Amino acid sequence: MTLQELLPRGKGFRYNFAFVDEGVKKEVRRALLKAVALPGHQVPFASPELPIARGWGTGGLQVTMSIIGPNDVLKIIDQGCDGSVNAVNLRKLLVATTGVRTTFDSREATVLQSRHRLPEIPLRADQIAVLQVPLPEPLRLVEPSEVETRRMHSEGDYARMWVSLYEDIVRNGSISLTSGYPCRVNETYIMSPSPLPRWDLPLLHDAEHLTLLGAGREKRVYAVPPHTSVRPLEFDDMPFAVEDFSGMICARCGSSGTFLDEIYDEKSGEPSRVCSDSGFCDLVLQGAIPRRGRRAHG
Amino acid sequence: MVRETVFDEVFDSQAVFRALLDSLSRPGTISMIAPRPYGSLPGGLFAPALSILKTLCDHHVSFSLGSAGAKPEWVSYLEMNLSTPFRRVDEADYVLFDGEEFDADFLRLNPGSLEFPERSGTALLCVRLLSDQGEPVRGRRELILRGPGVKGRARLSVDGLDARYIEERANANRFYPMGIDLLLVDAEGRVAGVPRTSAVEAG
Amino acid sequence: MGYVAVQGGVTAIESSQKLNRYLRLRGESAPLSVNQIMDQMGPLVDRVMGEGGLYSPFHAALAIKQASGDPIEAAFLLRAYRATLRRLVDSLPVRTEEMRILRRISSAFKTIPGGQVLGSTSDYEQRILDFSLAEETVETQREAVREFEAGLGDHGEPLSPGHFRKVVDMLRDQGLVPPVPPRSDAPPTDVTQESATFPLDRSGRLQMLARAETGGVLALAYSSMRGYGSIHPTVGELRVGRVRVQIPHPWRKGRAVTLGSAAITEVEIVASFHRSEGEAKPTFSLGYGSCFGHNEVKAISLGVLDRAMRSPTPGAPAEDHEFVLLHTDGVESSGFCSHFKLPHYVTFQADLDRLRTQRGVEE
Repeated sequence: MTLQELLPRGKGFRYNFAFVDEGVKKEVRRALLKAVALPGHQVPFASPELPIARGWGTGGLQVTMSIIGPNDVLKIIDQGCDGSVNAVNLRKLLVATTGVRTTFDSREATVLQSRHRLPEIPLRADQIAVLQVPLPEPLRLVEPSEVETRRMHSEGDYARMWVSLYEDIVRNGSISLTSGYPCRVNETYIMSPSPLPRWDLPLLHDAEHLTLLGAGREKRVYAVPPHTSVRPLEFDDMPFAVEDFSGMICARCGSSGTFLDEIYDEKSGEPSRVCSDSGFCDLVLQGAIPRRGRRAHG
Repeated sequence: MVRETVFDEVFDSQAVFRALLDSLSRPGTISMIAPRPYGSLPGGLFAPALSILKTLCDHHVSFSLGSAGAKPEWVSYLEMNLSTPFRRVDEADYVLFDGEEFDADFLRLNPGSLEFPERSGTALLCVRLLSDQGEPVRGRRELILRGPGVKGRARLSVDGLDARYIEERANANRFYPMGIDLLLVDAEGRVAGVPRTSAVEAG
Repeated sequence: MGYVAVQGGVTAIESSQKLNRYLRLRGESAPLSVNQIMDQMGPLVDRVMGEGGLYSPFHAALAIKQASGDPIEAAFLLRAYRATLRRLVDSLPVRTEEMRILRRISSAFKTIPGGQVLGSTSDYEQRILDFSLAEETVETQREAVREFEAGLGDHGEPLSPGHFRKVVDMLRDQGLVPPVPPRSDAPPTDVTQESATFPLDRSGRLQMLARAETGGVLALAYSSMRGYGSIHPTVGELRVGRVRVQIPHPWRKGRAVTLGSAAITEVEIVASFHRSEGEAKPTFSLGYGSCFGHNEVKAISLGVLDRAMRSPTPGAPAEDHEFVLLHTDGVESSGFCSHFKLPHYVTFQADLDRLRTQRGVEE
């Protein structure tokens, strides 16, 4: 036997289904099964390099690559939009290596990978959300060392987090934290929900769907099972509040109960608002769903 | 002793994994593991249990068997077909137990640590029959589950599960996040998950 | 949004790729061959192999060509390629005492057993731009090679044969550095195969350092050298050369198979003395650094950081494991740095909303 015989043969390069090899998938899968048994707890994983740069969604990608099957229907969005250049790029890689059907209609997707937003139409029990996470550690706000934040989580020692929020209120009149607002999951671990806007946090609480979160560069996965409590940290006399879009409507579809992007016209410079969830906006324009009025919860 | 070739490493693993993910994220919900026609399965070893181990195991983890039900030919068969080392119960990641009779080795499962609760062992309990539909049947144990993944309550009906597993499991899980996660599997491929976060009452 | 935007995104990416290619090729020069990069840009190839974590001069040179010379981008390409390769087997520990020396120096002693071998270095070259290099031709190249090879005599190659005893072993014989701890049976940590968590053992730390970005480790080591937690380093020995890479024989127990050889740089730093636990007398402490290819600045920096991270009373950034190891991986740091170019519309909108609320401004 020679070394030559051990090496892979053939010209060109053939990808495994969903790109990563089965060893990588196994490790991610084992980690995900533990993650759902420990809601909000960050489970370490090896996270080898991908052809996509670190910080650009490799964690979410590895989760999707490890769960996806040939019969899944995939939707990928970035900031709520399917057409964003990065979402296009990730979609290209996944479709090239799985051949799965893709959709822009969130209702049709079985796996939905997203950077920083959840769809406006709440997900069902047969849908899985995969969120891309840049910084999984919510306690990094108050503590730079991983060894120390791990200890804090293990002992439920979150006092410094609460003090930091209190000091924020004293200094600024309210909590300044915006996206990625820390949440208490299952009344145990404090978790970063990924940089979702406050607007989306109520969608994680007691959801019908499973949410998986992947941080590739930081090498952690975590999960929020369905029907699990997810409560943004708040004080009794300073309750959590979502973004205020009162008085604004989407210039495209007329909805007033969605997260709205502020945009400035390329030619005139005029400001206007449009739904961040482009798929939702398109469905309203097509007449497939009614435009949304003011949202009840939040 | 033959190496099984009917399990597709890519597509069968993915399907089995989704069933396990569904079961553990929705405790009490039964998922199906498609049957695989293994050629030389040793007597008594459930085909779906092999499929689960093949999905999850490689040389980075280890498996074990509850000694009460363990047979030597299972160990060599599994070592060959999983390419995974066999270890003591307290050191192993995935441990197979006979659900019908309580195995004291269950008490030796690794519950992980406060800082690394994910390093705990996972127990695969082989039972006679699982059902989440229909009326309670005499002779079957009714488990009522509450907690993350469950809307209100879930009712799981199990035939061939020793009650002590449920009692000892609650014991092992009293220091959350340390604890044991269970997968219940029957010979026809039904699987149900009971993560450490579930509160279980025997109905 | 919607369909129009998707077409736009795909077209934009494809156009960008075409533009990159055009910018690389539109000059009047002939296309660079991968062999030219391998042969004539050795230090860059070596740096990319080290940061890519894959010993293969050809693939590193190809990555450099694809990246148009950007070392971090080339290392990224190499890492991503490496991640697709099947791991077959772990090699036996490399015996650097048996290195075929290209260069070997010690700053600790004027003369050392085996002698100082200056070898290939630019250390003593005057940094004056050499314009004759702009006129190099195939003829001048051939003549230079012919002239050098005529002077090699019996060796046939510029590597010294023979065994060079380690300077540190000499110090160890005199009790001046701690004895080598008993060899552990446990396999070394492999951060590419398992999830590494802190505190990371020394084998994991040395592995991360070996793959670290040269500029990053240099900056942090420099901070230590300038006094942020100084360890008072002396280069006990610096070796550059080729080492044998062997694997255990697949079926003959106890035998080894030689796959080939690799060029590496190895540095042993002798640093400030202290009294270890259980030791009656103080000894020097050691720092170790090694990396693929010929990269002395990196290897010295690694040696300094290895020792700094073992300080009994850590305080300075170079002594903080997490600070050093989590911020010196070039692929991760550049990736995250670049990610700030991604859309952050929603997160920024959330910030706008909060700021406006706090300012009490009506929209």
